[in-house]
Amino acid sequence: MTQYAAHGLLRAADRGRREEEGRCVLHLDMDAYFASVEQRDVPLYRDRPLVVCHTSSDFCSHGVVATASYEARRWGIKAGMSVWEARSRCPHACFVHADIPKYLDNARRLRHLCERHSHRVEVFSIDELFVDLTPLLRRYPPGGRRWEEALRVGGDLKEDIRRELGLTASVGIGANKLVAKMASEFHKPDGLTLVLPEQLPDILAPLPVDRLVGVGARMRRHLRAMGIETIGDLARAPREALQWKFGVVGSLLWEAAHGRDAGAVARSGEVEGMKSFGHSLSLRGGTRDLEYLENTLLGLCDAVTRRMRRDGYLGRTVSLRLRVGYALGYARARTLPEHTDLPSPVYAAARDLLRREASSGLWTEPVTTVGVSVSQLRRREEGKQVTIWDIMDPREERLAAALDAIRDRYGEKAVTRASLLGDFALSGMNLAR
Amino acid sequence: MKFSALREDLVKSVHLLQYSVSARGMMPILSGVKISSSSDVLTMTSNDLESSTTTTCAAQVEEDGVCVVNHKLLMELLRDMKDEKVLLSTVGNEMVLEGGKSYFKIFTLPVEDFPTTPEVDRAVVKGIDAAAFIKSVQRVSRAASKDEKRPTLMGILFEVGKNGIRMVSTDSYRLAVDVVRNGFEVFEEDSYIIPAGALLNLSRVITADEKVDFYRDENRGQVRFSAGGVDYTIRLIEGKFPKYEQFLPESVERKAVANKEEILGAIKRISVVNSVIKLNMGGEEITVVGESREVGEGKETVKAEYDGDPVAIAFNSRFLEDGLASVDEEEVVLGITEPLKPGVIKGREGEDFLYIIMPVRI
Repeated sequence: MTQYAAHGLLRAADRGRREEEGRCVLHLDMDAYFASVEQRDVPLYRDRPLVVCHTSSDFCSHGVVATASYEARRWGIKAGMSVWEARSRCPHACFVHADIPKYLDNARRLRHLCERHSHRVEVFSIDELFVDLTPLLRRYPPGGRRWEEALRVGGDLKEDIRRELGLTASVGIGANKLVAKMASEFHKPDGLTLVLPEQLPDILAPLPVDRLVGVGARMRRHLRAMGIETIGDLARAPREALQWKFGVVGSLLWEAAHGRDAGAVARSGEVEGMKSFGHSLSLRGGTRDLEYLENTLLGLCDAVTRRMRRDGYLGRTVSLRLRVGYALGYARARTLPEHTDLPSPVYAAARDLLRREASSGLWTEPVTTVGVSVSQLRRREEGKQVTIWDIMDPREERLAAALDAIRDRYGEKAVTRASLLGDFALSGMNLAR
Repeated sequence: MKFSALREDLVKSVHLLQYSVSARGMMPILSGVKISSSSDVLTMTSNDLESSTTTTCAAQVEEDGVCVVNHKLLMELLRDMKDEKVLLSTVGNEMVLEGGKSYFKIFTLPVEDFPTTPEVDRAVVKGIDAAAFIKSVQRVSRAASKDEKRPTLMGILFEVGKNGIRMVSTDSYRLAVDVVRNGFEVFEEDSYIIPAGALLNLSRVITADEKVDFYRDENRGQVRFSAGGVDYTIRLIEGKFPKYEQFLPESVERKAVANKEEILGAIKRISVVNSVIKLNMGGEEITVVGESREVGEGKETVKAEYDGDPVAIAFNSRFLEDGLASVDEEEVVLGITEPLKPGVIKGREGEDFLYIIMPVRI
């Protein structure tokens, strides 16, 4: 979970290189996230070693550890370890399945909670996010007073999370995303750490290089060969040498070693150049059952349009993606007469495409993946042309609004279509993104 | 076949046939015009399977006969010739066209391939005033859809009733209604969906001082309009027209009356900024507002008689312009109930024309 989208972060550092003075970024990392959610929901698991597993077996007999609770970590169990190994280390631990939709739903609520403090919230992973506090703190002069205030906000945020979600988080505050993220790692769990720009060199220098975002085992080996063991070594190394050896990444690493990162906190859902909304589902072993495929498609269309409505987009082109057997997948698309964010026009188009494909005789093997995406997007605030059909029958629009309201309040799984009941994969499709 | 005729007469007749010629189709025969001569009358027909036009032309016929030649070719030759009188004859599968000094030999198309003109002769209405008819068709056809995925909306609903002929069209964003009244005789009441494009072509074929008769065939698959010696047969669109009645407002809550040219001009200018424009109505004026993230913003006020609470509503400017332009009075009435309910455009004198426009939700 703490794997970094390293590239993104580093490349972001290269962008802009604008003045970092006065910026204030908060990084929030949930403590043993999956395990904490399970411990919160199931009293039996509290204060015990708990291992949340990614596994397909009913008894958690194989697969890998997704998260271990802090109690389990004492036994040396870590995320990514095989379940078998975890069992041998701590046989009396509780082993449970990961309930991803639940965690995603929680993550969404966490994001909403953070958005109360600042509208610039970047979801970094399921249990991590960045909050840009700069606009919020602008009225305080740069320096001590501003950092104090940032600490207060961090504390409030932690308190909100404890009170409303019943979870703990580690918070790091710094002058940019890189520093904030490193800061949150200093005190875990339940930490609140501020790294001031002036403390930065002393704190960074003694740390091993692999504590830097983007440095993994392989990069560490290469750096060690150059005699670089700590971040301090890296900072002292000539930038040109790094650049020569690693190219663009080299100079970014050097910047990072000095605690510089110009990456802006990108508000989620506002990713520039949003082109389409899509969902797909792999069908284990494949299927030839058209009815089942249509039903799956309905669930996918529901999920896609739900996300479109939430993010305020209308779309016009519906694409159906299919993978037959294990050959390369392909897509078929159709353009609707109007832009929409409602499930039924999207589904009707996708279903027609599916039926046409099904009758084409090209399905020599079972369908293994089905997906739907909507493109040719337009922002909802640009206006939605009302049609006579909307006025003749406004029921679907009202229904969608009511369902959205229920889901916003009680979670994605609170209400679903009867035909999708019991279909685990389609219930509460990972909407928290 | 052999006949001579005045070139001008021939040009006029051949010209009328142009709307039922399919020049770039899969079937070359449909690009032709069928000429049949019999005892001093020439009958000319074109047929593209969607519509068929038949007209007559006076001629001195020496020998009866039939032939089919390419319409465009014949049209261009006849139009550009300088002679007053031309002589036409067929030799084998070639048609010879002779003027005073010019001589053309054109290959003909096989007569037996030419589609037969359907028999459409059950009278529905007789004696419609062409001027009123043409005006209604031109107004209503604007709102018809051009989207081939919804064929019914590409047509005009043609409702023949006791009190008149009501024409309705919609492309689902706006709806235009007009009624042609008085002066005609109704034989039976019924409704038809006639392709808007064909009706518009018809309005170009007939002239304003004529009377139009309307016929249908036995299976209600085709209809025919006849006026001034031209028969225009149109294949109907099958399907169900949307129930438009619910859009006809019983009363309009908020009504603004403005000068047509003023408001039309304002909308045209503001639409440069954004195709979606907002109308703010209130305090004896309408403010036309356009905002765009990329371009900027624009605002223009137009004096209006307005008797309601202030209200703001957004429309697509193109639909609004079409509707306003269709009103042929100096002052237009803009009726609005709610920001998300359709708006109504009509003339101040309250004639039959109504243009209902769906708003844009912002």
